[in-house]
Amino acid sequence: MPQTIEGFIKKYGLDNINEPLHLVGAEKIEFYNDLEKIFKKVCKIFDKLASISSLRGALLMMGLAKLAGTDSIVNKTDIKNALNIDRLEKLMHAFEYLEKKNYISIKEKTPKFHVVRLNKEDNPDLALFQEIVKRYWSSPKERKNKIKRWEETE
Amino acid sequence: MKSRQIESTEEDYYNQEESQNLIRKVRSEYISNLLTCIISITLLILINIIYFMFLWNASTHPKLLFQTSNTNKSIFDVIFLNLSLNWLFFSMSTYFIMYLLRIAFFKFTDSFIKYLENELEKLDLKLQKRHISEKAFFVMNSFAILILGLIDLKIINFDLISNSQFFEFLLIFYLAICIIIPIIFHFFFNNLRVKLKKNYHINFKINYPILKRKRYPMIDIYLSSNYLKLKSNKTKLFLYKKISEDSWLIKSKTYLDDSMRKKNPFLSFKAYSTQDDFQHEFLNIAEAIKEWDKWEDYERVLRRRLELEIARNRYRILVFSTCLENRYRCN
Repeated sequence: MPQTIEGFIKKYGLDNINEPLHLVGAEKIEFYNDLEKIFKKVCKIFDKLASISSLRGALLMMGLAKLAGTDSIVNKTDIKNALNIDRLEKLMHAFEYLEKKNYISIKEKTPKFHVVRLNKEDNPDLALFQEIVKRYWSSPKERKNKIKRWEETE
Repeated sequence: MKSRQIESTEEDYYNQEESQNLIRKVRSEYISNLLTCIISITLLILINIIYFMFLWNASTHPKLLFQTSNTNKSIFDVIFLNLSLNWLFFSMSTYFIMYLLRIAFFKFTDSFIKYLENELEKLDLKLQKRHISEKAFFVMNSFAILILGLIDLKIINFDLISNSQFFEFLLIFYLAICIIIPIIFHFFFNNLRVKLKKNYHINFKINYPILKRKRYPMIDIYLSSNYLKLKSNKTKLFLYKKISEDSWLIKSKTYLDDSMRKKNPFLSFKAYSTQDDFQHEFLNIAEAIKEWDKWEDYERVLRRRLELEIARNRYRILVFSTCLENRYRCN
């Protein structure tokens, strides 16, 4: 069963335009089941995000998912910048809460440099979450930059 | 439209206020409980010191201080022989120390328990308060005081018994147990829990900052299921991991509650919540336990089927072998 959307697309060759998609009998059922499992996972992600009681907790998760997965290490300040928040103190509660929830892991390299990671080992559904966020979500900083560029063109 | 918006913001404000009020209330209750206990412990220790100084004085200068006019017996003799009173003093002070430790470790206050009860009532569940250690303490110590009272009244006299040393040792051993067992019970079995089904329940542990002032203080509620199976059982470990991952539960090694981080040979589901998302996490862990039970049932059915199949095959082999035996005999 594909764990991610990319895996799903690859399994059924959805990205191959030259070959038509032919699903017969059991294949069709498998396709439908895989799709349903992905939707179930997405629903679980919605549920978890909605139940985050800390203010800006869900936003922080999205910001981290957007930044994570690249070669560079993500620290707390990177997330603050991506979310376009002026002070790190505004996110401290969310960091603490999400670490206790085991959704993220924080490693203290130096007192001022904390590496933040999504805890995909314990919560595999976060891989799908990261994929969706990376593909379709733009961070406040990106949106701000887009508007800035649009303003400059006028 | 505008009035509706105002209403919703007011509601948010009250929700936030309610949550913050709970923390404030719990914290103040905890501090007042702790202070009361510290004062009572100090008083008790002082009384104990005075009492034992009085005994010591009496033993060093019995005639000077305590000799009575009518009899030759000093008051010291009376008090020293009053074993039951001394034991009552000693055991009561131990009980208060235990009580203080309980408050210091568990941090449950009346208002928080009420909050838990309210939340669980919405889920049609009941909170069970277990006070095994207190019960054990009172039962065992009342029996000890009874025996010591009988010794004081000279109804039991060790001098008249042949193996007196052995019985004295037995009594000392029992008195030690009277203190040790309630303490063990207190740390391992005194807790709040919710019974879901036979063999399945959820325990609670809480933590919150007492003195540290935070902008958004929260009560950490650690939920854990009862011990399910040994970690050495590979298939169960796999199932445990699968369910934990699917439900986004916390695995033992990453559980942030210090007492739980120690190596435990048993598997149990763990979750973390605050006062705002308690219901959600409770349902999450309860569902995980239900899933575990479903697999246990399934395994039980499979095992039963396998046993039946083995029994059937054995029967077939038996029938076949008797047939073969009969044919051999006929030939």
